[in-house]
Amino acid sequence: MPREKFRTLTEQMFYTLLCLKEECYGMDILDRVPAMTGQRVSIGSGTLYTLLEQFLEAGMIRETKVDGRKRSYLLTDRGQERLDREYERICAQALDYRKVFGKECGLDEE
Amino acid sequence: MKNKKRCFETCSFYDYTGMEARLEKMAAEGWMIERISSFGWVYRRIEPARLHFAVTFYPKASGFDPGLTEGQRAFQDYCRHTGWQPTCTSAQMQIFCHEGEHPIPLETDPTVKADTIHRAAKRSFLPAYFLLLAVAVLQCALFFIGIRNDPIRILSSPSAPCTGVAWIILFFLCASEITGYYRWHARAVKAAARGEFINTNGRSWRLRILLFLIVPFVLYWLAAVLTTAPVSIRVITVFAFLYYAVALNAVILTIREFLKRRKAPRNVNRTVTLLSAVFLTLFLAGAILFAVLHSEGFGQEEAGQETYEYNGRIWTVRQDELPLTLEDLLEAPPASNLYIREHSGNESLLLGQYDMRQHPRFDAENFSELPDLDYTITQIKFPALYQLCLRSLLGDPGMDSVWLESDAAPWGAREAYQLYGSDSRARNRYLLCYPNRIVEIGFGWEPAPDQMRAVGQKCGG
Repeated sequence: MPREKFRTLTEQMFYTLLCLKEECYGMDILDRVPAMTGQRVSIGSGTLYTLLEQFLEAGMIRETKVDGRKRSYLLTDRGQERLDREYERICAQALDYRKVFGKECGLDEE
Repeated sequence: MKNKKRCFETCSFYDYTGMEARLEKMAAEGWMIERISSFGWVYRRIEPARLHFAVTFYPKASGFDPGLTEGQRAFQDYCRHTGWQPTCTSAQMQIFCHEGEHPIPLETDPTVKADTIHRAAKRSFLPAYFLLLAVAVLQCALFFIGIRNDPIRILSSPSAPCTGVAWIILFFLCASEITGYYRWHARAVKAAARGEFINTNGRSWRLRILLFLIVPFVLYWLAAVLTTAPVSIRVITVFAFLYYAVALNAVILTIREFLKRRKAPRNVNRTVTLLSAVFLTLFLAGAILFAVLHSEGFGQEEAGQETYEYNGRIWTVRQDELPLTLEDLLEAPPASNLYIREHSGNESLLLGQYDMRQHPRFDAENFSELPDLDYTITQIKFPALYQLCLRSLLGDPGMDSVWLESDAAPWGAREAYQLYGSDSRARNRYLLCYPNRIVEIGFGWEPAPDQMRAVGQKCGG
């Protein structure tokens, strides 16, 4: 089920995985994502908890440290691969956008 | 001034939008949710405040857990980090409260939210509703088959119409909850694909109507039993009603809560609680059956009642009041002390059906040659049911017999029917239609006109 679900990553999923490029406590992601996106994206605590559980089940992240109820995580190769695929999809979308609107909005094709 | 308040909330299990709105309204009125129990939601008094509530589901939790699981505690830690304070939990449902003006929502991804609710629903709510729906379908089918095959038996029973309608309402309630949920879930998944949340479709008004509809039928049943049944049956009924409706639930919940306090593992608690529920239900059913069979209204000897012995068995000499007796019909009836008079039957607020028998005692000399009398009176209290009852009585004479219309005038009846056997010969059995009652009467001889008139006067109402 999770694999099917993660075929396309939502913004929340994308940034959660992105934060785990480096090992960090799950709860820290709640602060990192807004900082990383200039407050544009915030992740709800309930959503983050559920996402971390599901990523763990899908083998996209792994637990690195358990400190009481605090747990830290790190992206796995499978998670990295999934993140890369999402990045390519977003880039392809951006490229298509530029092809259509590039000159009008001043974003010339490189 | 009361500092606690108990409300019976009627939100659908997945209606988080409705629950959040209700909790915010209660907080604005000065009531904070404290706990959710099987006997309602309990609120405590607070200073009226504009608070935000979030109702979420933790699919792995269970109502049989001895406390919060490690996962639930970690979940609550995450929520506290963003200012959401855990307020109360009930099995999978968790309620959080935030005092801030514009908090970051607890759930920000519609895909994750729809999936979480669906996983919680599949683990508990949906199986329970499907099971209840299956039982309701079975009970409704039995009720309708009973109405079709023997409407008089069903409608003259003090309990059958009430329980039948209650099961129909329960069927609609379960069907409404299940279809409502699946429709909402399908819309939520589509909306989530567009990155949108959608509110749950609050069906609390529908649930409330269905639940309130049950009340008059339960009251009808109680009224019918309390006004028509023998005293012993009334006591048993009230006891059984209180036991099933209140005591059984309370005892089972007490067992579950006791095991939770003793930190019994989830599976142990679930098994013990379920076995207790089955045992207590069967125990009650057995106790009711025993009490009914030994009650005075079920052929048991009443204090001081005369008995006699025949063929090694003790027989009760009943001398019930009968509207029509052999003494009314025969010029020279046998001595009345040779006879037993029995009056039995069922009665509801819609119908009554009474069987009357006057038959000789087994120890009477030549008892098999003495005349006897048996008849059934169907009293119709609700005129619209008259034709239904008549059709039912005409439709089932049995033994390939058939009712054919005969002269009603001698009986003083509106209509009369006589039974004809499979050999096409008339039997001395008649169905007589009077304004509010239908009498089925049989004789061991061919009735004379004055006997027919006597039947009309005594049984015609």
